[in-house]
Amino acid sequence: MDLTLTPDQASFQDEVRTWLRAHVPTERLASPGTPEGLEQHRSWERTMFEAGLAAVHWPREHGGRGLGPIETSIFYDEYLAAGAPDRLNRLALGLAGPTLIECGDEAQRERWLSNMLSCDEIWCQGFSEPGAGSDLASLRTRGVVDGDRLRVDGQKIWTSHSQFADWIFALVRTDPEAPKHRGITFVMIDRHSPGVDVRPIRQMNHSSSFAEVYFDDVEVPLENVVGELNDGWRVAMVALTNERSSNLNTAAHFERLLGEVIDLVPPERRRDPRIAAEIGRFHEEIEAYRYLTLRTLTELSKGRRPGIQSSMGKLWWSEMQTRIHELGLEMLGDDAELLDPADAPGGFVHRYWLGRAAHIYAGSNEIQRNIIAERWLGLPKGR
Amino acid sequence: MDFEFDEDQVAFGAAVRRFLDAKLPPSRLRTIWDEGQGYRHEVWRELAGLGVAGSLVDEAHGGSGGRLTDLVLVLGELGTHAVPEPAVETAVVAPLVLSGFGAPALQQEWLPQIAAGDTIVAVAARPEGARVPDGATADVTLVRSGHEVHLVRPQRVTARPLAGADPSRRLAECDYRLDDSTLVTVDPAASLLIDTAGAAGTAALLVGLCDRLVDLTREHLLTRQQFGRPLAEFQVLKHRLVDVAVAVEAARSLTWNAGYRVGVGDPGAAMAARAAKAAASEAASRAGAAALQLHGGIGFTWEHDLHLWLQRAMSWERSFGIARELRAQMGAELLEAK
Repeated sequence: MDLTLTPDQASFQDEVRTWLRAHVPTERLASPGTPEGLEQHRSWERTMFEAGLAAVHWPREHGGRGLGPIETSIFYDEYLAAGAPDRLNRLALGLAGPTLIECGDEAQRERWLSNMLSCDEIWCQGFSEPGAGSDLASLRTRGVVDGDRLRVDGQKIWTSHSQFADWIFALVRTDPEAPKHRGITFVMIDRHSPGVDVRPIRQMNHSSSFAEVYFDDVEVPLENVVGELNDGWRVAMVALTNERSSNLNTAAHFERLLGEVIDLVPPERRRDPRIAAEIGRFHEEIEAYRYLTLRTLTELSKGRRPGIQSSMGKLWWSEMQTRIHELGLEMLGDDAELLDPADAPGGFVHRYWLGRAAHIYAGSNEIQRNIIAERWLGLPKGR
Repeated sequence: MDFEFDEDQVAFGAAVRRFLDAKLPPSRLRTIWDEGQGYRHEVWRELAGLGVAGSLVDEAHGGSGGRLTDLVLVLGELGTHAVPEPAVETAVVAPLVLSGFGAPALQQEWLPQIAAGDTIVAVAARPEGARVPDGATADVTLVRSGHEVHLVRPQRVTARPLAGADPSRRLAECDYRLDDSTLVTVDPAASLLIDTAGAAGTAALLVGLCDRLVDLTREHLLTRQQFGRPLAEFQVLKHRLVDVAVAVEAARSLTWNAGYRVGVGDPGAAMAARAAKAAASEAASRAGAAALQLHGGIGFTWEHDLHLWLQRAMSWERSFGIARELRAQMGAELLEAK
């Protein structure tokens, strides 16, 4: 056990810190949902790409830095500490890209990987459907083979980034007769194809970050299928195990959130032992998350595939984040009832509700508990 | 960065586990409960042969010169088996405080005996009216008095044995007659080290005890049938145990970190130890509550072993800082820093 950085890790940290200090935009970028913000984010991503920092965890031959999990986390700790913008092409860098690297063919990697890194093409994920949430394998969007193409009909939902994305990596049912996990195909769909319709979802937190995507007889070349036809469930599982790379929900992120809450504590309550105990508890939970994560990173760095810690981590951070938000709302007092103005301190109301969504997305917390019960505790499936 | 134990540390833990599985089954623990204040620390002397007592004592004094990280997994095993001696006081706090702050003569006198397993050390938080495990039966006691730390022999102790819920703790209420001859140090760092090393070590014991509670409960869910199927198929019961297991993994992660930071003398050791102890206390309290509930009526009997672990958890949750106080201390530091 050694919690110090190796000389290589330390010099990488130094390099990243220096580079970020020189390049991170000093002004906050506009939301990527606006044309102006989208251009600003693209330009930031291009700067990263040109410096070879777009996807440090990707192998070198595919344009990454070939860094291990611990070095990647060093990168993101620095990234957050520098106050750098949210990543624009998260789903490409974290899911679609690594999946292509592992399951795609040479032509597919050639076609897409580099444009992911440069952000010339932005990606979104088409997995969930109105009838297939936690029970993802019951999805019904159809893909019918017609010569050298698939004809896709159906509907996806909760597709973040789809308003400005160029590509969708999607699961479609290509064999309705097969058992439900077997008849699924993983396919890349051009979002600009005729028949693709994106409709933003107005959310309960007064904003709109997700959308529905409708497919009406959309033609997709068969060469866009990743892996074999009807082997998409396996490919999707590869994608989902990659989900935590380029994850910005690091301990450093929550440490900053707790710092914001501490700033909100009014002077007359700063000596209240109940408030202190709550803050101390959140510190403890954030540190627990830091070291839970470090256990996983250590295992990954030694070539082992930890099966369960991503479920534990997701459960832990999402529920912890809500409790931290709740203390923030308490400190806001009566203002917690108000909509955040654009320049609100913290924007806690907005973030609180968005944090609630985190209990549902990426595998609801109940599904995570089932996974932990079955794979960690060895308990049987059941209702 | 490498957040794992090395082969030797894992093997040390496994050796202690095998030993305790064989030598300290619940049936022996029950006889130790029955002996109460009359128990004479036989388990500890046997354990010392494996190097547990001398792990943190330097080689010149008959130990193996390790760091707390070397002992974290071992402490977990001692916790799993609810070892009846004050293990953290004797094998962690005393060696660290005496080697860090004791005069050479004091080290020469005590460290070899500690390493050999011949000396049981108690720790008292104050000189009067202190509640001390092994208060009447320890061979020597480290006593805090403000910033002073004293080392007190039994002749200077007035101990009133108490009836503890867990009789294998041999609780006593103690008064100590301190003077210059008992003084070890006036350095406040020594008191802080008692808190920090005590909290980190006790967190490791609690994590091991949690493992016992989770294993027992898991076993019960898998074997107990109701409504024609094992309890383990009921999601509401599974999820309750999952929440406990996740809390235990969180506490385990913090405990490894605290052990490491205490071991290398990191400036963050005090905060790390508080976080670990608070998390381990909470995990143990949740694990205990879930274990009792999920066992149903059988867990409420004296006959079932569950209560042995529950009552020990209750004690360790209270040693070296309760969760709420530790959290308030951490929070106050963070509030002040802003």
